[in-house]
Amino acid sequence: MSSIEDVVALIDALYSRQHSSQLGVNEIQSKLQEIQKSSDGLPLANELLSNPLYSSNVRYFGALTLTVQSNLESAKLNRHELLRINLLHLTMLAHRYVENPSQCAGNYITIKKLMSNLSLLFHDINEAETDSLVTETAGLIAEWWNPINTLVQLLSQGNQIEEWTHIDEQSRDGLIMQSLNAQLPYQDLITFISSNPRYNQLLLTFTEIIVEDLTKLQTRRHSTPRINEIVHKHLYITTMSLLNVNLTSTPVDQIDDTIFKTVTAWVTYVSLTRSGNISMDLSELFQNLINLMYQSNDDTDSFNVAERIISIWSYIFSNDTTLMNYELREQIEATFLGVTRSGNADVSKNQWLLQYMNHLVTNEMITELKELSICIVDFLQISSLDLCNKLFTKTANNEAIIQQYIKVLLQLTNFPLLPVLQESFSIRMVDFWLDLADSYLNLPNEALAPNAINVAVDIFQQVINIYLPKISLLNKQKIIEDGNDETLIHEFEDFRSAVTDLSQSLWSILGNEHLTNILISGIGSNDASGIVTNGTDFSSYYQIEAMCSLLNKLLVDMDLSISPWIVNILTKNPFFIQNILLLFKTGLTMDQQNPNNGPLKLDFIRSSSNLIGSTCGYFNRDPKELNSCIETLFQGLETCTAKNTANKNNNVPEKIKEIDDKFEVIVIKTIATVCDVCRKQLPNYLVHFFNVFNNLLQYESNVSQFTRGKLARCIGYIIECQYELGPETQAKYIVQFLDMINGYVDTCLSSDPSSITSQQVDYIHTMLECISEFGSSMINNNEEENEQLLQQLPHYQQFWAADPSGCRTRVMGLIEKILTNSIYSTNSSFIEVACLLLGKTLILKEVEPHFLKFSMADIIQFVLKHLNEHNYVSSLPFFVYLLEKLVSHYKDNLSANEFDYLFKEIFLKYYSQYIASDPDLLQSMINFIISVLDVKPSLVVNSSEWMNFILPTFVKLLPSNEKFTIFAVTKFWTKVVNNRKYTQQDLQLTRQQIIMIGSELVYQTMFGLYNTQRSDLNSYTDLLRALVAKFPIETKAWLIETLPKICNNPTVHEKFINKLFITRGSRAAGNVILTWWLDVTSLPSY
Amino acid sequence: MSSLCLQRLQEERKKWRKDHPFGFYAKPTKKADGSMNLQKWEAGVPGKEGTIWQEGVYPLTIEYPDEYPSKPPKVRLPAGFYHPNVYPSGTICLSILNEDQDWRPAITLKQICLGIQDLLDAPNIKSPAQEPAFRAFSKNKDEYKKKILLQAKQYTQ
Repeated sequence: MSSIEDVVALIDALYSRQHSSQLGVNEIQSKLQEIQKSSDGLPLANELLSNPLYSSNVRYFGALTLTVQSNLESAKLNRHELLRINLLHLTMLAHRYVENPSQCAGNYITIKKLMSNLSLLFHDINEAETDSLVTETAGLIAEWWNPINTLVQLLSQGNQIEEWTHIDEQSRDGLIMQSLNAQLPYQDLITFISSNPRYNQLLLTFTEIIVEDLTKLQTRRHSTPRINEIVHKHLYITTMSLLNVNLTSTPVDQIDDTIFKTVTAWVTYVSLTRSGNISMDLSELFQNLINLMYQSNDDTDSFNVAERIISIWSYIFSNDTTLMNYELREQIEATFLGVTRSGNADVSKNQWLLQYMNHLVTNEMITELKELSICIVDFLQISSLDLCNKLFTKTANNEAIIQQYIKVLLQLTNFPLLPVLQESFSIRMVDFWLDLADSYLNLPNEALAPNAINVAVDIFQQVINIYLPKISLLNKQKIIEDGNDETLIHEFEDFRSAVTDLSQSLWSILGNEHLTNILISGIGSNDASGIVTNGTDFSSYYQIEAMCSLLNKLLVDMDLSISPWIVNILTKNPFFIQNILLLFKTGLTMDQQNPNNGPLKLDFIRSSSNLIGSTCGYFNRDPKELNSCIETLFQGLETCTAKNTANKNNNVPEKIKEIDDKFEVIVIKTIATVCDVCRKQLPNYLVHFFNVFNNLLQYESNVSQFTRGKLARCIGYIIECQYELGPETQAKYIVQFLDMINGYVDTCLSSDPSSITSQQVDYIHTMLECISEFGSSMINNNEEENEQLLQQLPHYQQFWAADPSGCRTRVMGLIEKILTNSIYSTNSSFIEVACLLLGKTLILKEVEPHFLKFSMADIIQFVLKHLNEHNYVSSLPFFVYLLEKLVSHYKDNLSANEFDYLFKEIFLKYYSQYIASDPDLLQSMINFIISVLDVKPSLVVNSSEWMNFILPTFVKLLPSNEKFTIFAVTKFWTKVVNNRKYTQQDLQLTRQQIIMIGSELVYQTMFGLYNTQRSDLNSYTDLLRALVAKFPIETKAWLIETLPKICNNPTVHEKFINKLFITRGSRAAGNVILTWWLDVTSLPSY
Repeated sequence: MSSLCLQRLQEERKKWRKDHPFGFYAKPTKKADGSMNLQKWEAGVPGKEGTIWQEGVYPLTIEYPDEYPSKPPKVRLPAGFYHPNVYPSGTICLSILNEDQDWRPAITLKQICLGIQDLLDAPNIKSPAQEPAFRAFSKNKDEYKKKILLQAKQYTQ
């Protein structure tokens, strides 16, 4: 061991900022840790704590060394010694601190550490039941009841403590041991703490540390019932005496924060340890806290104590309300609300709360006000069910009090300040109203009071009326103007979203009559066009916007196309659509360069657009305002393109660009929704749509690919619904559409190939995407309309089979034109979109006509032609996607020979050159075969390549190193072994084939399994389960034959085979396989 | 539904309402009779700021089994969602949602939603769940990025 001086020097060096030691910090630490853990740890700690000449850091290190020693395995046997040393030094340091607090303040951290060591020993001694033998034989302590009493006993020795260093160890030990379980009468305790406030402080800190540590230990360990019983019998009583004396006898302006820390620690501990046997009642403590809270005011302590006590209530109400009994909760209720549900408590104390609130508001103590709001609303939520019963059920009585109660709650919701920025009551109350509404909705009808519905409507309508101005964008504007704090803006948006959710819940109570109609009337009863904005003040529109945002949530899932209600209500509110459009237009005209306007502009546009989208079904019943709606939306789109152009040309901040991008997406999505829902009303607009589309398709037009695609869809919707006019008319429009695209593609392709930019490549890609979107929108899934189409079906089928207008030829021509251009032919994304187009209708039934219904020959020809011309490696997955759909669609037209041909041309030809060495391509090829096995297995199992290539090659792929190959190939073999789509012939054939290669199959499977990573084991489980289920006798024989070839471990193999054949279920089989794998690889389980 | 499951889901709802990350939403769905279905939730996860996902808020459905919290909820994005760790059905492949991997009963809805937000921009290439997005992510980042940006527009709010 190093000398004590060396150790002290190292400790000082460790804690010194500019240590002069030659050793680095890490080296010092490891050297000191080594000593701390060694058998010299205890004497070292003792020495470091004993010598008053050492620095406080050195003493703290001594206490820390005792902690290390307490956590060693050998601590059990040293417990007596550890207890003795810790108590000795705690007493001595505490005594010096009390005698000379200013000089010994540096020791306080060491005192706390020693207290923490003792709390651990307190726990270990009392929980050490299993060690009773050791305890008895070693003469150690079996129980330690009350560390506070012990400390009081020891400290009561007064100045004799200083002599302890001079008396013999045995006498000193005797003193300590006598004090361990000595009783301390209540009066002695009170006299002791009254003798010096430092004693009081030390005892409070000690009990706080003990329960904090016990709480930590409880959460880490399962259960520690014995220690809790001892605490209940001893420490709890002492602590409550200590706390209650402090709370009742200390003037409010002199009360120390330590007491609240101790109370908090005890509340947490008691809440955690409550069980049937142990119940530590805190009622007296809480009553004293309530009384103390009333003493706290502006003059005495500036409500500091109130703040601390409110935070204790907050903890209780949000975590464990039952800690507080009914009577105490009633007092709190009276204080918080000035009224109680029972009508019994003294409500005059509410004045105190009003003063406290006034103090917080006057001093702009927003955080504290928020804390209070959380506390009050958490408290209210405890009794929302009871309140619900009192309000709405037949058990209700004392109506006047309950009405008064509700009035207070509504006032609290309508807290007269700005939400988020200045107050949080309205925000927190959303949760309360939501709970109350849920409780009301869960009441059985027979329990409801006769006037319950009226009462509920009255209350919840008032709630909505309070929240409408609260969620107004006027408040968001003020937050922005106040400093544009992102967090506050987010908080406000969360608040709006919570109110929107609340309104959705309240609709179940208020219905259309009392909610939806009111909002519609609020938006549309008066003409808003007279509202004047001066370019910066849009406040008059804020209320309309707030109602739009709530209404949208209510209407979003309603089908207004079939609702007579919407016609009636909108007839009564003639300005509804007009005012929504005005809101939209106001959003358009807001000057975004003003940094305060950007987010508000987006809100205006979002709320109005969303509401247009959710109400547009109405136009199917009354289309007269559809025109102005479409016009306004297009005006919006036009503004977007103009803005995008301006943004491109000028140096516009990213934030503004982001807003404009969102703006464009919102507008085009709304246009698409209107076109989808109101397609039948829009044929007259087709020319207009074509014109707009024509403008937006231009290369120079600054709109996104998304917008172009959506507009192509819109045109498709309108053309699709005109089926009564026959396929010839539809074909005319389709040709117009395709020719327009073709023209723009030609223009772009004609530019100088050497100067083609990535934007041009993207542009050409977008053109093909537009055809794909257009094609998708021409598929109508509306069953009702299909009934009408059914009558014209034969004509449509004939027409599109022949395609006299050459739509498919045009599409194919366009694709070929692009793919044969050297710039585009190397880019596999063009193959992707081409495959998407050609496969578009392969999901449709055979009888359903469509202009993109390409024949099998067309598609195969396309694949074979381009497979060779393009980058095989990057394009194959897209061709495989198309082929999978093709085989699925034309399965009945394909023969095994044709499959062979396709397989050879598309895969075999390239196998050794590309596929064999590329796991992704292998996966694509295997997946293709799996997809054929899924739809028509006879195509593949009867092909010549099945036995020649597929089975022999795929069996060798089983022990692959690549995760994706393993996944695909095991799936393939599982499908081969167990396939419900097999015909009787397929089944016989494949059974014979498997029996032929079974031994090899099992060998490769088990070899693969043996060599694979743990994460891939599951891939093999399904295959082994399928083999065991379908070929039980054969598989057992194959396993017996092959396992010894993989590794020599007969016992493990035998156990594995026996277990595997009696196991049911995937998970159990997985465990059996895992056990075998762990055993044969000698890897550890975890 | 077991009482443990019900109790925990009520607790989750309370916790979420009190504290959830900005831009996220989550709430139980309603049954046909208008009552609340605590075992099936709708949620939304915004893409992280500064990533290609940022423009969208991605909708989730969360289904809690009767054995919850012993078993994890099944969390799904819309079918066909483009992401390497999302199965074609929309089911999300994330270790904390897998009973055999990192699921623990103490995991909260908030942690799940934040975990999914992280996963969006940081796919786990060791657990691919769909081929197209995985292939593009591993071999053609430009194509992957374009598709994500386009998909984000679909989910712009």
